[in-house]
Amino acid sequence: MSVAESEHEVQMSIDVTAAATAASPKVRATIREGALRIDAVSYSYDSGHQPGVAAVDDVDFVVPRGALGVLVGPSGCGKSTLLRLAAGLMEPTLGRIAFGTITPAELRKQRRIGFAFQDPGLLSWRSVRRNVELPFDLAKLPIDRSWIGELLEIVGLSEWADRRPRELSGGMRQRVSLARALATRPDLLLLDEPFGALDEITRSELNLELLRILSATGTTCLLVTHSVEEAVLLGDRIVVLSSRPCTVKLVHDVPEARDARGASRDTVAFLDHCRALRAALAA
Amino acid sequence: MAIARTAVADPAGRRARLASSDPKPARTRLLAPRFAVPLIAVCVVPAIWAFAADSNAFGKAVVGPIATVREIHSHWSVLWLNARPTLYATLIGVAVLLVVTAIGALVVALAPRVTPALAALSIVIGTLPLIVLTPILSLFMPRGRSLVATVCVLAGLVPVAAMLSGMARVGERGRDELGAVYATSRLRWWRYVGFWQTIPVLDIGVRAMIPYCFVGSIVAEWSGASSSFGLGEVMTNALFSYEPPLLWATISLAAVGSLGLLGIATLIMYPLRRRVR
Repeated sequence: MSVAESEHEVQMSIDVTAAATAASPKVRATIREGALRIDAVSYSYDSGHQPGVAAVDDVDFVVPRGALGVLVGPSGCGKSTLLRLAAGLMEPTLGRIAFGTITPAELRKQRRIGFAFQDPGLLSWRSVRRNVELPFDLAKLPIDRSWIGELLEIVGLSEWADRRPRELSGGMRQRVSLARALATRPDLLLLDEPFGALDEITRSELNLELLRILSATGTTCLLVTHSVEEAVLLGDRIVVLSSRPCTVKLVHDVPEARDARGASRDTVAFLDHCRALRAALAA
Repeated sequence: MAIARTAVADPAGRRARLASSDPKPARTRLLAPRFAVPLIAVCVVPAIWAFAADSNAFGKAVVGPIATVREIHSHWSVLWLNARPTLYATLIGVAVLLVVTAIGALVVALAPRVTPALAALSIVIGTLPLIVLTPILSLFMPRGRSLVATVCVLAGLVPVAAMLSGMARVGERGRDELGAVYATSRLRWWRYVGFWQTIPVLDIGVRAMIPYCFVGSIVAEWSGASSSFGLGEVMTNALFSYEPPLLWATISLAAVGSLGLLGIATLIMYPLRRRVR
């Protein structure tokens, strides 16, 4: 990494941290933990009749602390694989992933990772509140009821806390999934196309909601999406990936402040960002 | 009602999606096949049965449903006297199998590697003709209630093994994602997620197992496991002394008993099924 890049990264992390000054001291403490570093990571696996199929090839990027990194790339390029590697659910064949000074596997064992999957996967027998509390049950942690209440308030579901998932719309389920991922106050939030199945209006609403939540909590986030507009709207740093095996085509920073992004979708700067990403994807 | 609430709390105007989430058509679609089979069983089968008896196509061997009901009524004391030991042996078998299910569910949750063995066990026991079990077991066990209950347990093991195999697969769903993210132990996953996920499989398994046990008891009695009483014994005697009305009465009573047990199993499982709906 060049000196200029390092300086930019530091500046970026300072900006994002400044945006989260309204967060609690505990949150501010977690913000200082460090950046997510994907360091020359490769991953290959053995398919039934083909050993060593490469899914990820020499991927290298950094998501600064408290920033939102977005992975964009064609379908099946290995974005979700990269996300799973970042979560420590799989080990890279080559290279290294670190969050601050520790590995994702250690971070996961310390229950400091939140993961929202493509499918909300809510449990039908639990109410909305109990679904959000699930990570505490699974991680054998005491339930922080006031934080759960706060989270439900943030995602706009406090009125629905005692309802079952079957009574919710698709957008509401995704919000529950997001709240569940944030329940244990993770230092690293990983989102695998969480809004992929939603209509445009709901998606747009949830995008802004996500930005608001992340700014409030100061959580470092890595998100996978297919949508270039969504990437520009959400991302502080966007990583454009090639088709399988995925390599980094472009690392693109969006310097605009998060709270101004909702209204900036028709601006020249926004369109320029989109154009740059599209060009990289098409290249 | 739920739709109206959704529209209020989710004000972005997702009318199209909400309209498509109307549960009524899907519910109707689900209910149609659900009620079709019992309706056929309750209405069509007796009608065919009555027609076959009236047409005299099979001679006097087929006794119609009304004559059968009369026969049950006139022989009720004998039939009930023989039904009781069959039901008793079935209850013992069901109790043993429920314990096996509970232990087995825990074992497959904690050691899913045994699952393929369970599927194989289910196939092996399933392919072993139930009727040959009694003579084999009677070489080692005295005839009577314990032998009937043993055959009943072996008969019920087929759905239980299949159920456990299904439970192992369903219970693990999501553990590699959500469970892995929170580094959850197998036991903890089973307690909070896995067990609840397996309830539909458990429901079907228990509902299949109980009538299976009842049929197992009757087959055991039929093949000589019982020393004196039992519905299977009555069937054998009625057949070999050529009393078609009594044979039909016993068969009908066994069918009603089996349906009754299925009903009881459905009622027992209802609260759990309702909870995970």
